[in-house]
Amino acid sequence: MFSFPTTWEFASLVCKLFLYFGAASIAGGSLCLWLYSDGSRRMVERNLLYIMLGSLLGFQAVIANFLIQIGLVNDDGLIAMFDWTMASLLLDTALGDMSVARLLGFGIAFVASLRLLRTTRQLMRGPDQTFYRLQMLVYSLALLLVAFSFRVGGHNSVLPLTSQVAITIHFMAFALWIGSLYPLLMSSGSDDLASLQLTMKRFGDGAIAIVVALLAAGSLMLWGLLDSWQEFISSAYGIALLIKFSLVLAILGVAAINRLVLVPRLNREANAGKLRTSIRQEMGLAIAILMTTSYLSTIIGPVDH
Amino acid sequence: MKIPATVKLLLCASLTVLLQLSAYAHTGLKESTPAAAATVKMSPEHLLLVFTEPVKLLKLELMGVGHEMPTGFEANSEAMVSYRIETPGMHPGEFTVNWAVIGADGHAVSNYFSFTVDPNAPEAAAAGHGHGAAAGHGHDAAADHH
Repeated sequence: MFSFPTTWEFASLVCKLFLYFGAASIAGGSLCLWLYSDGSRRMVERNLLYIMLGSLLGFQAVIANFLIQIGLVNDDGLIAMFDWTMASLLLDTALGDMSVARLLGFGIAFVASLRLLRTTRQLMRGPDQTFYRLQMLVYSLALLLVAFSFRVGGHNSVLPLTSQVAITIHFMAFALWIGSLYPLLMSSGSDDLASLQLTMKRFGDGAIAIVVALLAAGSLMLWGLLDSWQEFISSAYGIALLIKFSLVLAILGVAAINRLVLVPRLNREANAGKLRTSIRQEMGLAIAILMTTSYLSTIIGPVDH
Repeated sequence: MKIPATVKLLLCASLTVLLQLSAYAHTGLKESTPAAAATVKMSPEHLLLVFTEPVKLLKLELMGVGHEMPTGFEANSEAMVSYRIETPGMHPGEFTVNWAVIGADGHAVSNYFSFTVDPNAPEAAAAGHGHGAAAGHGHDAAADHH
């Protein structure tokens, strides 16, 4: 059960991690832009920049991962990643379909961010409602394409429709929650503590629905992927899942402290500082969860899949 | 961005444990003829590879010591559980079969196994058919398992 991943495995894992970051920035960035932004031009620009950089990272990660798979198959050094005959063979597989869907999603998000950023910079004040509706529509389409790719390939793609729907919901819920943390951290530097408190309270209320969807969909996926509870201790996949559960419990604990203790006391600058520290802790834990998920989904797999 | 020390510690601990967990082969070679690490008396006229699920065979190389042997392998787009590959011109010696496949979940797997053709091998040592994946070493990185 114990060994060290190969170089190709590491490279593939890093690409998956960047793909998650990219998707999270699209989901969280657009959600915060729509619901939790103060509407100022500066904040809108920051959010759009966050989405643009995230989608660029995701786009590059998808291309790099495809090339890494070619290199893995040929196993003949770095130059073997550029074997176009193998590339055309792989394009005609689930890997090709997945990559195309993800490239489309990240591509749409990147181009839209560029256009919206240019539009925002030409405005004298914050954008109007049409702008917000348009951005939500475009980014939702982009995120759906990336989420759809998990139905085309991956372990859940060969499972019944319930598991495929569950992975789509789980992925979107995770992206909305984790991706919102960075924009919220940016907002938490605001001097207007009353407005910040309201924003954080509204986000906390919304996050409850997101977390419920995340956990429910995650449980459904487990139901399809694991044959018995014993796999939690007898397989590498199960042990990695237990690590992920522990991290999820820790992040839920930090989120609960934010919502129930820190946000109600957001009337002094010192408490705003504590909230910023707490959001940073959430972000650190989120990175650990994403690393675990990348490892689960890229390097190890459930026993029978 | 400043990350608190406790979170850094958790990150490092998780990473350390995760990196110790081995790759679990998803799509794998169930059996082969000749089998992995087998010694056969007769030069095989073909290789038979049986996988755990329908896969597309992307690569198959039959390597002698310092040279590649001709095979009837042709990559095609149809996924199958077993592949029979002609191997004309085999001779006594040690051989390694390098293969790579991709499963229905888009997960690419590459691996290899070796066998020996020795007409003078004692009868007890010569066995041609069996499980092929165990003796191989492999890469199992891929697109997605989610």
